[in-house]
Amino acid sequence: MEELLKLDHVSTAFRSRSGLVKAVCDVNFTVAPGQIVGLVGETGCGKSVLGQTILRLLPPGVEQSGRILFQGKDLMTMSEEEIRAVRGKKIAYINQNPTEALNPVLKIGTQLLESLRVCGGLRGGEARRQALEILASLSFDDPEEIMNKYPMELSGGMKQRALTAMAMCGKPPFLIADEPTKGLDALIRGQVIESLEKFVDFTGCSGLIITHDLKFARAMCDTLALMYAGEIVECGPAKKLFSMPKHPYLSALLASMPQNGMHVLKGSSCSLIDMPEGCRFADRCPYADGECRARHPEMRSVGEDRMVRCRRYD
Amino acid sequence: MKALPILKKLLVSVLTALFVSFLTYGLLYISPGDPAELLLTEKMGSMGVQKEVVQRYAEQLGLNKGFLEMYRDWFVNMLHGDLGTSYKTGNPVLTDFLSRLGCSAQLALLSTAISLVLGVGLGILSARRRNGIIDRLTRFFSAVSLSVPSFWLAILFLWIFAMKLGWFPIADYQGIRSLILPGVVMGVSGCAGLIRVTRSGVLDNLSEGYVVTARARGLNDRQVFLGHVLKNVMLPVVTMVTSSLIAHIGGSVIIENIFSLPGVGNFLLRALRSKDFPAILGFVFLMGMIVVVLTTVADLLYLAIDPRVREGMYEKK
Repeated sequence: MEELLKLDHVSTAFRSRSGLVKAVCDVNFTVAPGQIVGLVGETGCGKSVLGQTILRLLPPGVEQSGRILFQGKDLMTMSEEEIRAVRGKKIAYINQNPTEALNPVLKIGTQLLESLRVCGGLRGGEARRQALEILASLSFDDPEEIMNKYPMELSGGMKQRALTAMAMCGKPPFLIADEPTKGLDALIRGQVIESLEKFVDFTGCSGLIITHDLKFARAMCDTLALMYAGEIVECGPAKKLFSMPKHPYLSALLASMPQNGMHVLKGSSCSLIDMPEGCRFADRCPYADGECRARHPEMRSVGEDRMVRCRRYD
Repeated sequence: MKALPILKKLLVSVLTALFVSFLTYGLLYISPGDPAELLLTEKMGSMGVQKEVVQRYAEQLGLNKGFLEMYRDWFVNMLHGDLGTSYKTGNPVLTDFLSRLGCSAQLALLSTAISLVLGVGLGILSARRRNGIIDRLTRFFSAVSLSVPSFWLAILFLWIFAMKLGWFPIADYQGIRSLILPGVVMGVSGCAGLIRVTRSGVLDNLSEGYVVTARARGLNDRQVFLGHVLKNVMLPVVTMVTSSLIAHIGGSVIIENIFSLPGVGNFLLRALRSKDFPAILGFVFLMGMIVVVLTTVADLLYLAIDPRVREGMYEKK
């Protein structure tokens, strides 16, 4: 399979007062051209850190290792200048929390035109035309007016779309969207799905969508990767994962969805500082035994296109 | 932009300035010493002045009227643009004020400019090289500048640069040449707050989400800083700069005294000693008006920089 993005043993850790936080541990996955991969998991499992690791957006002092191959080139070893040429132009990134992700003292138009200048090399009237076109394609009723608004004058859903518009400027072949539905209601979620679909149509891109929203992930993604405590525990085609979950964590997540009876998963994720020796999910797993707690399970293939990190499928 | 809140604020500020002048007058009125006697004594020397002469002089000045009556007279005249005549110099108060404002305003502008350049410059440098050698030196410098009193620094500078090295005049006023030393003293002692505000502002903003968004679009550090962070950092800086400008115009009494400058503060100090009512009332009121104008300018600057102020969102933050 030809791949666009390939993560090869990627780990990310940062120092905190209480110790080394291993936010991402030995993650491997690939995204093929035209594919939309969903990275799902509960808050704090390391999925947002992974998203920022790919574009090296984390603050200095964060330890990253492994290889991140994009179109055959390793993003990890690139110079600062080379990675800047990838950001926005080759890989767009939609930050989580649109209220904080937009500069509060600059108009939407200013921020959008800046994106077009930096990522698309457009200036003046041409940039303006393009900006209006992008805004109109994201179903803004009055693009001219939006250009003159400040972020605080827009609703949450509009800010999300404005952010999406900025990411579209470089017509990138790849998109990373971090929690695009966080804090939005069901109606706005529909709008976000629509705007991301327009994004994909507009740029013809592939993408990585980071979310804790299973319903949204099912609507958007071809393939899902499920993260738990910094590592991927199950991945495969989205439809199959939903119909036939393998990992006990995925089964538990599906059971916690409202339409499946909202059976809440008890307990909380293990600390990312003091990891258990064995399976990280063992403490919350109904099937865990002594062997599970003693040895850390590896990812293994279960059927075509599917992998799971659970001893029960040995 | 809404003009009404600004007008309202302006009105309140003018009333405040009037109230302050009334308060000053009241405090002065109850403090011991008869201005007529003080003035005559000063004019004639300590020979002792005859009581009836003092009384005639007091009548001439209108000092025999009651407390409120005197203030009312002053107020009515003020509304007609007449701030009265100084007992001591015999000039119209406005003329006296304007002739001294130049020196004080120049000093305030010079010292604030020095504070601004030093404070913002060092603040940015120290934030961008966090925990580096420049940052440590800057933090040390700002701690020192906070703890060293400005009058002490003034005397030190006067001693080194004017007396020992002879670079600057000591007592005779020579225009801008005389203002450099006091300007530097006030600028250096005033920049500590600005350094801190700028440094923490830059550091706080660098961890904001919009910085990640900007970097994710391929902007380099310089573009992120100049295009995005700087404008956000400028908000508290504008506040500090205006308040320091205000403080420097009226509050540089000690520095003006040490450097023997013919400024507003020094004049006011002398007027207070001789209970020169018209001069004191006029000066306090006019300085109040300058504060009103400057704060209004600051408010307008705020509106220009931060759209959130326009919507009244700023109080929520």
